[in-house]
Amino acid sequence: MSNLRVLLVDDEEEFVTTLSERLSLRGIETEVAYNGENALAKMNQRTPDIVILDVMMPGLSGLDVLRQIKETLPDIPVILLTGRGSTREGIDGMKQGAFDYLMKPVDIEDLIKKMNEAMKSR
Amino acid sequence: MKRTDDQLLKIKEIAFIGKVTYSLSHEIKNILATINESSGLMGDLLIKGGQGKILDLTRLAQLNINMQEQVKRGVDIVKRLNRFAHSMDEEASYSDLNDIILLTVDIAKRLARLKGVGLETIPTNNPIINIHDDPFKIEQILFGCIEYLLDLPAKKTLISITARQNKDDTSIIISDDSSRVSPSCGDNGIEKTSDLQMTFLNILMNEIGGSVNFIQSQSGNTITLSLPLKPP
Repeated sequence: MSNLRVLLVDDEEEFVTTLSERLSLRGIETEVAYNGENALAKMNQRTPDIVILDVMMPGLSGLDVLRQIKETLPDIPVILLTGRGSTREGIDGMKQGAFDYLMKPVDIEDLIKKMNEAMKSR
Repeated sequence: MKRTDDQLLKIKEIAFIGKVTYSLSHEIKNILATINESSGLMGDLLIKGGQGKILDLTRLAQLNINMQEQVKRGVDIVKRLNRFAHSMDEEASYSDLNDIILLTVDIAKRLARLKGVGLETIPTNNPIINIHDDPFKIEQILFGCIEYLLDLPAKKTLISITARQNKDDTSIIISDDSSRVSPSCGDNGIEKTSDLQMTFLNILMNEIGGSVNFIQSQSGNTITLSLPLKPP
C-alpha cells in the first residue's frame, strides 16, 4: 500500500485528521479535506489514487462530490463512508459509481482491505 | 385516498420524531467514530513505542483530551434526546417557553448546519415565559418553522428565534436574514412543498388556539407564532 495517495473527505475534522494519521503510520500518503468544495479543489491540484468520502456534509454532499468526480476523473475509485444505519445511502452511491461503502465507525483494517480491492479493480 | 387533518397530524408527528432521532443518533455515530479513531491511534502509537520508537507523550495526552471532549459532546446530545423524549409524555402543563426554544434550536442545529445555515436564540423579554401548551407540540411547530425557512429558496446564513410575553398573548418570532427571493419559484418564491408545510403549521397552531403569520420582506422572512395566554 505504500506510495498510495489517498484523499480523505469528512466534515468531522478530528475524525478525519486522526484517521489520516493512522493511515500515514501504515505508509499511506494522505491528504485531508473538510468539505466537498475543498476536496474538488485539492483533486484539481493533485489527483489522488483513491478518495474516501463522507456522504453527509454541509454544502456539497458526498453524493454531489461523487457525481463531479465521476464526470471529470471516472477512473479514480471512491469509497463512501456513511453514518446512516441503513445501507440505502451506500447502495445509492454505488449506483452512481462509488467502488463500495463502509459504515462508521470504521475498522481501519477493513478500510485498507477495501482500498486494496479498489486499487486492484482499476 | 384523501387524508383527514387528524391523519396528516399523526403522520407529521411520527415524521418529526423520526427526523429528530435520526439526526441526533447520526451525531452520536460520528462521535463514536471519532473516539474509535482516537483510541485506535493511541493503540498504534503504543505498539510503535513497544517496538522501540520514542513515545510521543504530548500526542497521547492530546488524544486523551480529545476523547474526553467527544464523550462530553455525546453526553450533551444524549441529554437532548432524553429531554425530547420526555416532552412527549408530558401532558399540557405550565412549562417555560425559553427552555422549549433552546431545546428545539439544539435539536435543529445539525439540520441547519447541513444547509449552511446557523441558528441562534435571542434573549426573550422575560427570563421565564410560562405557557400552558403541550411542550412536544410547541417543539414540533418550532422545528416545522425552522424547516420551512430552511426550505425557502432564498439564500440565508442565519435563522434567529426569540419570544415575547405580551399583554394578550405570547409570541414566538422566527426570522431569517435572506435578502432576496429566488425568481424561479413562482410569484412569491414559495414552492408547493413549503405551502403544504405552512398549511400544516396553521392546523397545528389552530389546535392550540394560536395563529401563524408569515411575512416576506427585503430584509428577510419572518414567521410569528401567537400563542394564547390561556388554553383553548
